[in-house]
Amino acid sequence: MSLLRLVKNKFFLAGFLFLFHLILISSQVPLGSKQTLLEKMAFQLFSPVQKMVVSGINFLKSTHAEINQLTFLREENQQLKKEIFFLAQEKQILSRKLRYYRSEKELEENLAGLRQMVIPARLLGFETANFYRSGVINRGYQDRVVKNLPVCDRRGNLVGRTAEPLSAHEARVVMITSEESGVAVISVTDRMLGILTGDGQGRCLIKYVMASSNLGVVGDEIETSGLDKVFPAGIKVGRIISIVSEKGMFKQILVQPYFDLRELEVVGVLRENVP
Amino acid sequence: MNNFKSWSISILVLLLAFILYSLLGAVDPALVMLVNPFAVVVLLISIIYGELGGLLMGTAAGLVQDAFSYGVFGLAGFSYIVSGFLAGWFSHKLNLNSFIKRTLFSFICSLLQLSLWVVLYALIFKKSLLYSQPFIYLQPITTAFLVSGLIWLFRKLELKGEVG
Repeated sequence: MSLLRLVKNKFFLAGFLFLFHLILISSQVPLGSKQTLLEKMAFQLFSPVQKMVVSGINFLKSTHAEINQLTFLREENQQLKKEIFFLAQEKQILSRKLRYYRSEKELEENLAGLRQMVIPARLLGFETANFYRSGVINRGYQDRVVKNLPVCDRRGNLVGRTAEPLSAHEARVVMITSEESGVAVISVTDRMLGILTGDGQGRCLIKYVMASSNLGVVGDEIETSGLDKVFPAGIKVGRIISIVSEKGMFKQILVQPYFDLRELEVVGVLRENVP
Repeated sequence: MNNFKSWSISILVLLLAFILYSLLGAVDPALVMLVNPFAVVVLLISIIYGELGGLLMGTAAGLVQDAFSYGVFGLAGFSYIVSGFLAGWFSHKLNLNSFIKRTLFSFICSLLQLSLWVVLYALIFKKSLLYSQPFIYLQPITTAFLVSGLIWLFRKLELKGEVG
């Protein structure tokens, strides 16, 4: 029997593919292994299509928004002119005050440094199995994206961290709402330390806070503590929405993250720890 | 899956499925759970071209889906080849000429594929998808109706092509 005839045999092909998938799965367990060459190839083959679709949708959205805004443009323009006048005055006063504290050159250097720390990125898509777990951004190793860089939304709230880049211009973001995520956090009011992990359903949990501890207040804001050496301290994460102390050794602290999944078109990758 | 036409159709259908997947993700990420374009194309190709087509489409669609997920590569492909093979095998032994029969058959195949995927996912990740994604319960229904509708459309177009 020739090789071609053997391949065309449905039972042989079924057995072969069944075995192929089993080997593929078993080679990646335990979890945390690097991406396979086949995975990278499949990703690079289809990612341009995804980019095109997302760009098309964004173009349509922005065009629609622009048409809607056209009617208000005139009034807004007049209002803005007024605001510009007052802002220019304000700027003059502030510039004089700033010059008093430090030289203009020093200020510009600091601002340029800050700009380099943030890599703006566009979110291309979410994971099929659970969109609270991961997404793909249009920045890769050629954009200086490496593993474990913090990712924030446009308001500066924490979204997650980068996984190993998939290609030159694509990288995966593991969200804080993922069960695989772990962030060292601190509460703003009573300085309660903990490890924040996702529940896979759009919310987060703070782990390892003893049930006997007095710390933890519902409504308190949570931010990164910087103790994990991955996320810089002071990035806003979310707000505590419930605390259960009765079950077990540790408190069950539920946190509602600040970032909104539906507003994650643009994100910022923090390349270095912002002071 | 013998001639150039069927290969071209399969590749085109996979590309369209990926475009739909990207579109749904961009509009609302929850929609990806409700409508799984990859599951639809695997069943569609299996029913039209038989078990061999189902196997190949299952492998291709599964690998593409897994490449865009943060998890174990090959998991979706495994569930797709099993469901694709069985769908192709049984579809040629059963009479699936009516829309209702086709929908029911697609529903069972989609349910099998989803169950397999959920079980494997739970085994590897020690976490069930059934609690976190409410839309997942509706996925077999949407898949069944889409597959059935697309087969009807495909046969109409094929008939038109033959007459033309």
